[in-house]
Amino acid sequence: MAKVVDRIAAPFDKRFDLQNSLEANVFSKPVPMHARRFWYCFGGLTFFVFLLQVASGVWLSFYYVPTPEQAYASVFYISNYVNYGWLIRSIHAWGAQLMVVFILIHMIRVFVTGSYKNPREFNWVVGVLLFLITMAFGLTGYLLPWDQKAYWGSTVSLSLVEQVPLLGSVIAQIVLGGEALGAPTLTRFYSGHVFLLPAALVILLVAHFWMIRKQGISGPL
Amino acid sequence: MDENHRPGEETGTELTAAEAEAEASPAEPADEPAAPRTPDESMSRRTFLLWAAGISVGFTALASGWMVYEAVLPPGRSVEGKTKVGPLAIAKLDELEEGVPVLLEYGDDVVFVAKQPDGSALVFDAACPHVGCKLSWNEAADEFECPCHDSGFHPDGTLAYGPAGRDMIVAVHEIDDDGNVVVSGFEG
Repeated sequence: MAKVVDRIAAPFDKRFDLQNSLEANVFSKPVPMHARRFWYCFGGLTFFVFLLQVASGVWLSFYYVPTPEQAYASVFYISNYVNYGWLIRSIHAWGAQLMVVFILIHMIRVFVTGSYKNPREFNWVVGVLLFLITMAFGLTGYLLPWDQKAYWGSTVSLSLVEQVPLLGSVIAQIVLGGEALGAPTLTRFYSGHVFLLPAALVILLVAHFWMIRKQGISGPL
Repeated sequence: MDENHRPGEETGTELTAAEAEAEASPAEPADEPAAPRTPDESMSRRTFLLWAAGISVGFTALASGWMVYEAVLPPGRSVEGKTKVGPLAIAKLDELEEGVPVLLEYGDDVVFVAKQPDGSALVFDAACPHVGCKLSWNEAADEFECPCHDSGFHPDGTLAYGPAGRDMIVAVHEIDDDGNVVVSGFEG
């Protein structure tokens, strides 16, 4: 088995220097003892749930149709007709809840252990942005099933946006895309949910992880 | 893995007991009973755990991979795929009473066959589309009913009330020249 892996890996190793890269960047970076704790797991868990969201979300987009006429019907179809559709859709819905919970626990841990302090302030800022993006994911995803709960829930959040001083009505118009919540809103939320937000999240995640590598894991209490 | 993994080297932390043991004993400890051992038996704890983890991950990946495979296939496809029985004549239309669904066996499955006034037949899987309990025909209420969660269906198989989320599963069938109801499978 190991020999087979070696045979396959060897040409790649020769060209991309994989062995040394892994040695330098992965195997020689053990997690320090003080960080091998339950409460230190939640950043990684959040990332894991995010990967689940990507996988289940891509699959959902196979069937989902972002138009007012078909959105609810396509979600209904996913839940009731597609093989394991109910399961994968539930994974996506519960994963969304879990991701927010995990982020909050992660932020509390970072705050309580003082890990946000110099020189890691920028990473805290990036982390807060990641949290806001996740909340935006939740807001946009909530509208997509296009049922009563989604429609009126989003109506409420959009009227909250309108209350923002100065920019409120402009932002609401951009998000709404029309006079009232309707087809343009649905496509804008969908586009944000599957294109803009994931792109922003991935870029900031790279920054988040890169800074961890540059600054190291914060010391013990 | 053993050469590459040097716990605590950069961080100045100590090995855990388990790691120290695994590092120290590629072979069995010397004070084991002197039973002759082949090299295969002297698997270190680390190797064992790696294999255990690998197999668990492998099984999980296989299971979810299979689920995703099922989920990306169009659900209506499996007219033939969902049964090993193939086309089977299960009833003579002349012998059925009009408008009264009867339970009949189709392979390992049970189906409702209801003769229609126009000489055709409605054939449904008797399993409730909710979680698969066997539906029964309620003559008085003129509907199919589920004993498990009280779902109800109209005589034409459409959903009357939940918790089921969809209509009854339609069995693909035809009436052959001799007036037999020939079932060949189920729609998704």
